[in-house]
Amino acid sequence: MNAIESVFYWTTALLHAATFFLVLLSLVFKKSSSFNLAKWLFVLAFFTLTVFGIIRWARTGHPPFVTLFESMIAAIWFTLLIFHIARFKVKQVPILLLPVSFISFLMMGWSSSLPADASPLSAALTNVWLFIHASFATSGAAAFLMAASFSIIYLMGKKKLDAMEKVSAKIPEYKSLPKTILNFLIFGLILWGVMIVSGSIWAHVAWGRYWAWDPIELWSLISWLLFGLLLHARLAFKLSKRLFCWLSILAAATVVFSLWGIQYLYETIHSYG
Amino acid sequence: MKINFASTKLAFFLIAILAILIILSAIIPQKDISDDRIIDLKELLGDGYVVIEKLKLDEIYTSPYFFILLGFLIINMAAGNIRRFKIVYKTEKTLLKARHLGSIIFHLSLIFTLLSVILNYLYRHEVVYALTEGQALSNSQTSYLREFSGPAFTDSNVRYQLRLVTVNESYEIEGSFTRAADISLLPENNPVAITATVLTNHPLKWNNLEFHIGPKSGYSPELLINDATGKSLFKSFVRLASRKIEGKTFHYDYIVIGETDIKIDITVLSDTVILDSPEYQITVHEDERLLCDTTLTDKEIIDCEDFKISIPRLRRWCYISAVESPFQNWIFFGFWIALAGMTIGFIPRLLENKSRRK
Repeated sequence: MNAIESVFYWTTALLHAATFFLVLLSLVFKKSSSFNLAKWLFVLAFFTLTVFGIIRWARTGHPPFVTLFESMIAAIWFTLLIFHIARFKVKQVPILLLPVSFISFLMMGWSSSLPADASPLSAALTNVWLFIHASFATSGAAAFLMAASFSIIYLMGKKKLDAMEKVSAKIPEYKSLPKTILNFLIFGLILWGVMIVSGSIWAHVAWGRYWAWDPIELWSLISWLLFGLLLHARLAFKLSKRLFCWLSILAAATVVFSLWGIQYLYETIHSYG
Repeated sequence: MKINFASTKLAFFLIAILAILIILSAIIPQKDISDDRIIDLKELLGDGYVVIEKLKLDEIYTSPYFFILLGFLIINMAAGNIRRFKIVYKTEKTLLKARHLGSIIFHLSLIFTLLSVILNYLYRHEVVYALTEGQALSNSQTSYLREFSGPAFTDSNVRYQLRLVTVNESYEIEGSFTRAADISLLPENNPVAITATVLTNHPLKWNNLEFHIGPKSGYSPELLINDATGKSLFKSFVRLASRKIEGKTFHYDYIVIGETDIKIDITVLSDTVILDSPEYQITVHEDERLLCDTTLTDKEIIDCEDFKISIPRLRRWCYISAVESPFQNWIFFGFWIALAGMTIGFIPRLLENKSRRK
């Protein structure tokens, strides 16, 4: 990471911290002004992270999805993008600022512990399918994190959600939350599916094997199956909404594990450059 | 007990078993996929490993129960969708509503994809060769690293002789790393050899087969060991493994000579090897006793107690795989259509939410 990138990276991290702190403050002291300021800081965080990505892309010559560090930053960027787009479309979204700013703040912290150097691309990575694969992996993860964020809000309970009305004018209808969670899950499943198939095509072109049962491939498939399982369980067993929310958080955790946790446990061909 | 093949509960249980099997395969190392870890697990479990072997938990993806499970999933999806769409057609008199259409496309495409996966397994052929420059398949019995042929595969189309001519690795100006192999292919009953360059991402396609260069390559020094009388004890190219430690690449491996207890460790010393003048670290042990530990260039012969050791030539090695995967594009096609079906079914959900908000 060069000096200019560092400035934008750490500014983004600080903005995340400030956003989360202000949201907490607004909820504790029932101050809508802090909440509104937090919303603007989060827009600014998205802007600084975008600038960081552009500068890094220009310097390295490839989209910033390749290293473990970059893939995590890309997932944060997509989470913020989906959040800000959804903010204008769905009235329920602003209240998500609490879990989303918390999750993205944690991820910024995690990313700061990873090597941020941009190493030269290996031959297999100089393939357009990589960028399709990686962008759908990170955007899919972002959709699942949004679903998990809605689940956190649901699990906080109706009373706490109603109490938030003092800080945010737009409060979601409590009972409609599971449907929104389901929509984000299906959206994530589509993106995650594109990630799997584009990765298979890339693996075939690069190494002659469309599926190598590599740990990351396995866990990505496991995540996809778990979400499929969750959707079927909802239909077949009429899961309680709370259990549905808990399970969607658990399934989102497997996505986080398949993307970034596996490196700590297994040797994998997904060496990220 | 009567099984309702169309039930969603059965679908749930089948997907759950599939997920559990895949999780198990992520924990228990699988044959031909993670053989190194199998050795570790065998050491850890001792006789207990027999249970894993008996249950075929170390080869889940090729075990009969895995394919039976896929078969059940296909039947369940087909029966479930027929039942669902009978009900929908009875009540709504059409199946063309996007929501139902999306679901039917998704499930039919998944059935198509799973069938293609099974067919591809039956007819797939894959051989991975580890070859040193100049080496042809007939030169060495050990050049086959892995060979897999599906039960229905017939090898009538794939008789050939293969020779690795050279391996080239380079960093481009913009920093990209490329690996290329020049190979010479001699089809059976054809006196004219095909010579071609195989690059990562650019396989050679020939007669239903694709030749790919593998993800790893390395150095292969020619190790000569003679005894005190000058009798040759060992003469062969040794493939060194490459390991990246803190950004630096190390080329290292060891060999054990014949049925003796002589173990020779070879490490290429220079980080960026200049093929014209390489230098090696050689360590020789007999049992646990150190016989010698010295450096060696390609011009030298070292005396190590009763042995004379030299490395006159250094070449490169790489993996070349020959693959025939006849139903692979069917798998990709099926999966893309399944995702399109999912999207078609998803759009009305979003629109429904939007109209409700209005």
